[in-house]
Amino acid sequence: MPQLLEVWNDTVDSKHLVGSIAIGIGVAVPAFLISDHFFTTTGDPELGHSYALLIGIVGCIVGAVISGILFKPKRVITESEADTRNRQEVIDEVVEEYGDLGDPRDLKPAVQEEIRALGLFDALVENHENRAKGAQL
Amino acid sequence: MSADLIEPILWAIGMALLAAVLFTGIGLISGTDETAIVAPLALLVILIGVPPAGVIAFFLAAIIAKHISHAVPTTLLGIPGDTTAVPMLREAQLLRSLGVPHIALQKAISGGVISVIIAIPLSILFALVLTPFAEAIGAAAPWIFIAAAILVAYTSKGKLAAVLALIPFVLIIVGLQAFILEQKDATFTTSFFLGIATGPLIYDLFSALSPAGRRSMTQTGKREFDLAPDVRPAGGTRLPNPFTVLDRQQLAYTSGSAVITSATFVFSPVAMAVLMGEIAGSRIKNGFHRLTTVVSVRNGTTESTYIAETLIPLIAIGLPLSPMAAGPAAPLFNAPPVYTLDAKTGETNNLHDLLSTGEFALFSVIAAVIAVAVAYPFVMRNAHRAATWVMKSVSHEAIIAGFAALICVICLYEGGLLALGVTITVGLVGGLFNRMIGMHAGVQFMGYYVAVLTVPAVLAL
Repeated sequence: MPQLLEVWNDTVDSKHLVGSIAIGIGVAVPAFLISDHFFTTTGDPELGHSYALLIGIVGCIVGAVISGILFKPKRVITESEADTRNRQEVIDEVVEEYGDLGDPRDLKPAVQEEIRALGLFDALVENHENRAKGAQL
Repeated sequence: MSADLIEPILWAIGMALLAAVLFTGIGLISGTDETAIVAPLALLVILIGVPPAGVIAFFLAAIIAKHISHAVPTTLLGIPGDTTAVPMLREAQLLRSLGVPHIALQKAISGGVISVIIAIPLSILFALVLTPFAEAIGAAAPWIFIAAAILVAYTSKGKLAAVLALIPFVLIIVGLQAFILEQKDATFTTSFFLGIATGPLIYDLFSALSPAGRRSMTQTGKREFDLAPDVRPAGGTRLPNPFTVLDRQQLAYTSGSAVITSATFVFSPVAMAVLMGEIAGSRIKNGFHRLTTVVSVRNGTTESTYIAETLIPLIAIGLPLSPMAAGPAAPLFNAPPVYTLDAKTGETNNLHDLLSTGEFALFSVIAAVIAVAVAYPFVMRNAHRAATWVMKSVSHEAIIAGFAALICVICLYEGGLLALGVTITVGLVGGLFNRMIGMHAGVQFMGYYVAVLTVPAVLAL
């Protein structure tokens, strides 16, 4: 079983990580050193260093792309369907964490329009009214 | 327009375009911290010899585009795109629970665009107000840096521990610099910056190599990400206008926060985003409306703080006197041999000296227009598809490989194996301090300036 580790905020396979770093450095560093030697011996040394740096960077990108092709991401993507539960349950959960979401009818017409377009207007009104009733009891 | 300006303008346009495309993409990748990513790439652009107009346009377009697209993982995946996206995570999550993740995304990026439009002229204005005091500020720089270092350390997660940890951290830098000077007759800058910026990565790599450290990093399975469904209403091919996505109150709060945070350039961007969101939120009664407003205000603040904290110190002072300038923007102030900052005399030769205020204004506007024109429509139209592609196709190993190689190449360029050793040393120590005691990279950058500016001034007393 591959050993999965969390490195720099995401999951990697330890073997793939070693391989990727070896490829990245293995491509970029020789690219830099060889071009640095070549450019500084044949032309202006200052400018030669800069050109070599540029080629080194290209090496970094090439190395990263090769690693990307060889090693696939260790992520599982699930696309959640739109919540099929009762709207009110969902809103109740949010209210529990955040506090009352309020009565959309108090808002300015333009804002009301936006909430209507989202299809949340009636659900928010209902939730607010239930809460108001609950508070009175 | 004089003919002399045509070439810099072309550079600005080209570099802004490059940065906008590159960083719209990078922003989609969650957890790509600004300091770790933007600083090394800005450094690179400077070292390969891009002229000042291209450098400033590249940098601004990079942060503007990134702070638009960082809203994609934050709102659609529920994981912060970068450090400054953390404050809007809660509101984004709640809107996502309500089944409207797209509205969180639209409010966030529209808030960002509005803030960019406000922050650029205002930052330049505030810089002009500050310019008369620049000389006095420059003369007092060694003392300002130590005060700033202590303040930034105390407001970090590490509190007092981070303040006290400045002592060993500064001493390590002083010691390394003395050794480098003895060996090479010159000092290094880049390898220190790179070590600080990529510290957490270097620390994690060491930890993964050690059997003891590996145990705490082991994951039981692949990490699961839950992508919010694409619930945008079908058919809309017209691009939403940021001024109509936000309602009047949201426009007012977002603009107000942008105005305030364009002036408060010495405070941490994350702290300002939290604070501005709280202030706006406390004034809105309706809960749902509060959620959408806070998202737009907070993301707007990430843009305005970054722009102001870069432009004000650059234009007015020339010294990296803001958390941003001592972090992601550090290379704009000091990137030898191209840009220098003389520790002994306080003399600078960086963008501050190379561009006039008018040029700063011109290239900033070019960068902003291009970054917004690239990032905003792309994110509005393709957020869902792009987030899916990044999560499924871009492996984290490849990103780490690219950065590990980049560190090696830049270090070898600056000073051979000794520079590489410096980066690994500073990175491991800095990453350790960062992870273990909450002393973030901004504190460490300030520590670097304490080492090169304050320590010599103290010794000269």
